[in-house]
Amino acid sequence: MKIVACIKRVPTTEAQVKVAADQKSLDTAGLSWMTSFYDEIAVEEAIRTKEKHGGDVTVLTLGSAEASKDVREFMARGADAGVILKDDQWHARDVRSSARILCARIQKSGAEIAFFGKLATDRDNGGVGPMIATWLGWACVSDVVALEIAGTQGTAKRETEQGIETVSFSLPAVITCQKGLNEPRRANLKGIMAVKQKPIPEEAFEDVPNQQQVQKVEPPPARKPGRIVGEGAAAVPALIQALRNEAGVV
Amino acid sequence: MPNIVVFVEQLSGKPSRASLECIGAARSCGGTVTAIVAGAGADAAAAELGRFGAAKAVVLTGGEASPDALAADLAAIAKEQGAKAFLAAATSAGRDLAPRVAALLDSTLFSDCTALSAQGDAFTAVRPWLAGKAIATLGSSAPVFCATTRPNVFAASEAGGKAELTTRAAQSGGKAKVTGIAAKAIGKLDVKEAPVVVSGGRGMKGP
Repeated sequence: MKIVACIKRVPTTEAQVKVAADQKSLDTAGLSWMTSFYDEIAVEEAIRTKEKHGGDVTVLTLGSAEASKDVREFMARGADAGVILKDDQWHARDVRSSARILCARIQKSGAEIAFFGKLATDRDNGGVGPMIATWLGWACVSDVVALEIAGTQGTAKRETEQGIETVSFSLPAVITCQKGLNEPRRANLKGIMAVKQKPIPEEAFEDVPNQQQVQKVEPPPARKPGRIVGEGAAAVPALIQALRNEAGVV
Repeated sequence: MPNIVVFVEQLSGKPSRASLECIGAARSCGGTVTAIVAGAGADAAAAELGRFGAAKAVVLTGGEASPDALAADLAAIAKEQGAKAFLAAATSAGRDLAPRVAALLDSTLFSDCTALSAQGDAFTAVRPWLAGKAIATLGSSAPVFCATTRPNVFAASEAGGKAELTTRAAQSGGKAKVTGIAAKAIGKLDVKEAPVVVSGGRGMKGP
């Protein structure tokens, strides 16, 4: 089975981001980067699918040449190949633009299943996977917490506000991965050594312009500081007063 | 006034609060709202939507629980209505459907918006980046503005109107089908629908 897992490099979770001088983007100077949290789960599920059903896993990313570090890490964990669609604007693309570019490459790869994180933790849109499935005419299950594949049929469980939904589908399919689906492995020394010299091709692609225009980026409004209304039982009347009159919740 | 199509979620004939807020968001953009409701109990839920400001309500009857078939219906209605925008609440169903509908309308997606505005047909969205570390104001040149609205942000106000109700047979032949749902305990409020969230600390010494 041909399997693709898509990843995106995003600022680390601890990153302190600053708005750039143009007030339309983020200042990327000094930021450290990582693979989006949910994309790691996607790659792990791709490798587990290969281990169960055979085939090969390609890690695909739209990004700068530095993405080779991330791709190589996943090859050390068990992915067979990596492809970088070289793009210095990867973090400034809208959902449709990223999805169109990745869609064309997935179609070319002849994949039967493509794994994505449920969203990338920079723009938090969560739209690329379902969009690609729609254009390819594939099945898609999002926010997946359990996956079973048998032959060309699959069953996935997805988390919703009402409970856990069970969804059945046929391959080809897009799966977007939620926390809890698996626990990503670490690369071992043998894996790291095995992929050290492997080439990771950088490919060009046909550009797709954005439909989204950034008008302004600003830091979030400052949170009001907390207030201690008193201590012990004596503070209860003051607390109730504050909840009733200031917060309006009781 | 731009036509705005809103997907309304319902449970046992009652529209979800997040969807009513989404209708409120569409109305705040000055839009004429066509609400679409699907599933068992959809007609009862649709009857309530005029009160919250929907001008039209379309009930999808029959069909199967398939997100791709539902997305195809939503996109077809948006096209027929000449909609300038498609909105859904940023719930698990809304977040799953909206990108599919956007793809069918060849439009990009603005997820989890915290403010929306429109000048004529030109929509602007405000949404968080990096889990709220930055707030972006975004314009759209998409053929149809597709967005999901964050629950508990927009007001669901009663307008006291009456919606024109129509029914439509839902498409079948979806590629993925929901075959079951292990429901949470009945009566337990989902945190996204909660009007007030109280967080307790260690000082409470137990639940």
